[in-house]
Amino acid sequence: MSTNATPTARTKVLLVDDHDLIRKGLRHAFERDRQFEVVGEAATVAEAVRQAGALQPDVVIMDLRLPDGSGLEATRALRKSSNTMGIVVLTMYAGDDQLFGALEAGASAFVPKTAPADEVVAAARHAASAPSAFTAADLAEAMKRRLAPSGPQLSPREGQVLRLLADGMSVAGIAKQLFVSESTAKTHISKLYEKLGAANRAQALMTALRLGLLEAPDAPKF
Amino acid sequence: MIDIDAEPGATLRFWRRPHPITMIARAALLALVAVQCVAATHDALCVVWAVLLGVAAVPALAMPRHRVVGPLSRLAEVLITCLATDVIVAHAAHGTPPLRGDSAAAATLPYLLVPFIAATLYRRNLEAVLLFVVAAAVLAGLGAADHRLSHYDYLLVTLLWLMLSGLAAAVTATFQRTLLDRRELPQPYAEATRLLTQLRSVARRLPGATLDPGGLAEHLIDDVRSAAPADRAAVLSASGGSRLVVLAQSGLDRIDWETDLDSDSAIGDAWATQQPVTASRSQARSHSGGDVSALVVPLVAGVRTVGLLVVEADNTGAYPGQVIERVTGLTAPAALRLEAALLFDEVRSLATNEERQRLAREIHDGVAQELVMVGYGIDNALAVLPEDAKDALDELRTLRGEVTRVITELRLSLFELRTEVDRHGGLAAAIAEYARAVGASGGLRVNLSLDESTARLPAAVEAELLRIAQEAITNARKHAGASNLWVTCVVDPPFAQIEVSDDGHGIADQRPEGRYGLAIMAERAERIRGRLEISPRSPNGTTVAVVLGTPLRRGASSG
Repeated sequence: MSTNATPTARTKVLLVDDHDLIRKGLRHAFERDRQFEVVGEAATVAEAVRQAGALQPDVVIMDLRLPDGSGLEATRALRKSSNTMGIVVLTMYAGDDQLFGALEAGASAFVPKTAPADEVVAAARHAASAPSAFTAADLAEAMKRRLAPSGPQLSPREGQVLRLLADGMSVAGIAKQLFVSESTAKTHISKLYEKLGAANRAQALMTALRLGLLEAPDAPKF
Repeated sequence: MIDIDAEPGATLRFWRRPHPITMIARAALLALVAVQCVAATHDALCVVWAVLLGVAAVPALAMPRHRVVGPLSRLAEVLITCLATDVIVAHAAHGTPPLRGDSAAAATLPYLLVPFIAATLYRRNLEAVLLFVVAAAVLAGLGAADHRLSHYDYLLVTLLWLMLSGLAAAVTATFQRTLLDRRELPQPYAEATRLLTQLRSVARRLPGATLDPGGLAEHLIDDVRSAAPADRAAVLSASGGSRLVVLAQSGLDRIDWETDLDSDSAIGDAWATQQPVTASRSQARSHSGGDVSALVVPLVAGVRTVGLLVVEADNTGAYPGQVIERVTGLTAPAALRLEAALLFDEVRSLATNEERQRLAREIHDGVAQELVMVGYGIDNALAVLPEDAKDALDELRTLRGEVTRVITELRLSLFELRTEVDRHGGLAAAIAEYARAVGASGGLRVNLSLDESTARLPAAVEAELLRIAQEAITNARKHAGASNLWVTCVVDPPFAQIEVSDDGHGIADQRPEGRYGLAIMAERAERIRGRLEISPRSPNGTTVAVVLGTPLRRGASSG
């Protein structure tokens, strides 16, 4: 899908932000670009939904925090009524929750308010051509952070003990390998079981594998 | 209800308007008495009694609540009424019926209603009773002196009016009390204000850290150790849900206490029954076996269990009846102190969190939006400037970069203000999330090492530790010029250690008071009785560590 920027078929833009001067700044940025035409402005969720229904814009620029609710609600409502409308979520908030919130609500792009106006316009261009393909500058990093292990956290020593257990070593063997007394090794093991919610070695190893705490069975020894 | 007169600086209140009922009653009864006196004696001069009563009423109307003037004035009214009755009766031989002869007592006695009811209206019930006794005694005395006590009419009228006035006063008192009760019950705000005011004055009077749950718990353990054998001891408190947190403990080795209230253990029993429970099995999950006596005493404040004291000795039968009694003698007052400290913590964290949220909203809606607006303004200026205005373009680009940097700072501050320790996620998770987010926007590589036990720290302690970690991470990002950040988090309640290191250029002044951020961290650490250690990292950079409690050995030797 691609919309060629011709003077006759401009991309219609609706600006939603409760700050007058921010709307004004964005309007200037869009007016400089011949592809766009700002057809309306709104300061509240209710107004945004009403204007979007009446004006049928191609792209909505949506602030997240509005006086009568969240921009995410408005985004959800707009997405429900139209699959082809581009929605660019614009926010001051940092943190991955906002980004994933926007993705879930059905936004087409996510731009922080630190970005220059040109980036907002670029995101609007993307949103108009591919409203269902989500884009954000920090998306890959955020995904990586989200996929980081969130299960039980093992200390380096417990990690060692886990690998030795996986190798089938006895308690005495582990103690020898780590240069500690047997009772210390036992304490490490019981703490490890406790963290993994396991009652015995087999359960502990299964859980560790499932959580990705253990690599392939033939992982090299340290 | 607070006694109005007892309030400091209430002198002016003596002059407050008198009760309207007492004014109306006085006016009406004075008129009645004047008319009846004349009617009984046919002597206009007898109006003088009404005038006298009126004069006696002046101080009672002017300062009805004064401790001395009010009662004295009402006593004067009673005495004058009694005297007037005596005189009128003596001169009423030719009065207009029914105010003739002995029955003329009814001319003045109704006035007794006034002082009696006035006294009860100002909540001086004892004074009302005394006035009643005085009136009865004086009337009896005067009647006896004039040999009138055997006259049936005199007795009837006098007793009737005495009874009537007394009854009216009693009804007023009862009515007043019900009214007050009803006014006092549904006033949660007034009640809350009163309690909070008390709390504030108490907290101000307490020395240093006496409203600190950890300190109080340690105190209790010290006391108990001198009263009962204890190889291991701990004070646990509930942290919402059915889990316990360790407030303080003592013992040679590290101990994994049973923290599940639903478990089938002495801890679960003691919590449920609110009674001391002994067991021959250790309440520590990490215990290796052998002879043990365990005593679990619930800390009950009022009707609520606020925590548990666990003591254990490595022999059998260490806790006979009298030892348990000695221990419970120590826990009863400690429970109340602990409850107060926990409540205080809760109130404080509620207030702080609310303030942080408010601050975040204010920054978000105010200065942050305005800066964004300035940024868009510069973008627009950049776009309309001709290509050959190279200097102006450069200047504006630099300015735009600065504005973007400042907005980024604000965004991170907002993030910091809004981050809280999740009840389910835990402290390490919250610190990790913050470090990752800050590292991502600050171009820092973040290396995390998290070792968090399943047991939790008290919520207030977790909150302070998170704030310290945030401050340390922010410092590293802002001032250190580092490219790597190491965050180590070991949580093993009641021990905890959070360490934030960077490979930046280090800070010149290593003392906590040297820099604002460091001072705040030191203050926070002190509040939870932790130690803040700031040291240079080798080869370069800084390490900020906060340590809570002492790491305990696991098993026989440290691993």
